Amino acid sequence: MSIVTSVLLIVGVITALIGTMGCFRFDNFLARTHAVSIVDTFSTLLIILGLVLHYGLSLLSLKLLLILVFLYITGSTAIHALTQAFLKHSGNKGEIK
Amino acid sequence: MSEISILAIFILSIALIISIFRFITANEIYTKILVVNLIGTKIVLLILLVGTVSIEKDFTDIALVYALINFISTIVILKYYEDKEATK
Repeated sequence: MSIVTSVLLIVGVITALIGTMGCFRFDNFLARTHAVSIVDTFSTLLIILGLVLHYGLSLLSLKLLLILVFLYITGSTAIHALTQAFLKHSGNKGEIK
Repeated sequence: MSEISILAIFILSIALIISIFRFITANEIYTKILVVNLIGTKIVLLILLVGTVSIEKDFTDIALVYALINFISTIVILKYYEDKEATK
């Protein structure tokens, strides 16, 4: 495993840990979605990029890129739907107090 | 090769345990659904990392199926509670 892959994996995993800590630190739901979205996009990008560099050009890398594209689309959609439901039912107009 | 992967699996497992505590201590339903989505994403990443340590190479397919099920489950749980809130 090359040094680039190691750095990408470790930075991606630490980003996931930071996103989880943000879920504790923020006291507003809308701010918490921001912290969770970082795990969904940035951490996933770093880890899957590191694994693609590790496996090289093969069918496994194609599947990994497929997972990356799928997680980007569905993660953003799920959090968007969640935020819309929160704004609709909680009476909050989106201001972060 | 495998030392870095095992270190990454260790840190990701710590993040997973912390988010399970967040799920238990959350008191509103939207935060709980958000944390369920977070746990699912991190389990997909964990399956991919375990696939680099193991001899088997089929973990990528399992991760793909898990990502699909995670999306469906988040949307369905959200829709259930939204309908329950609307009829209240």
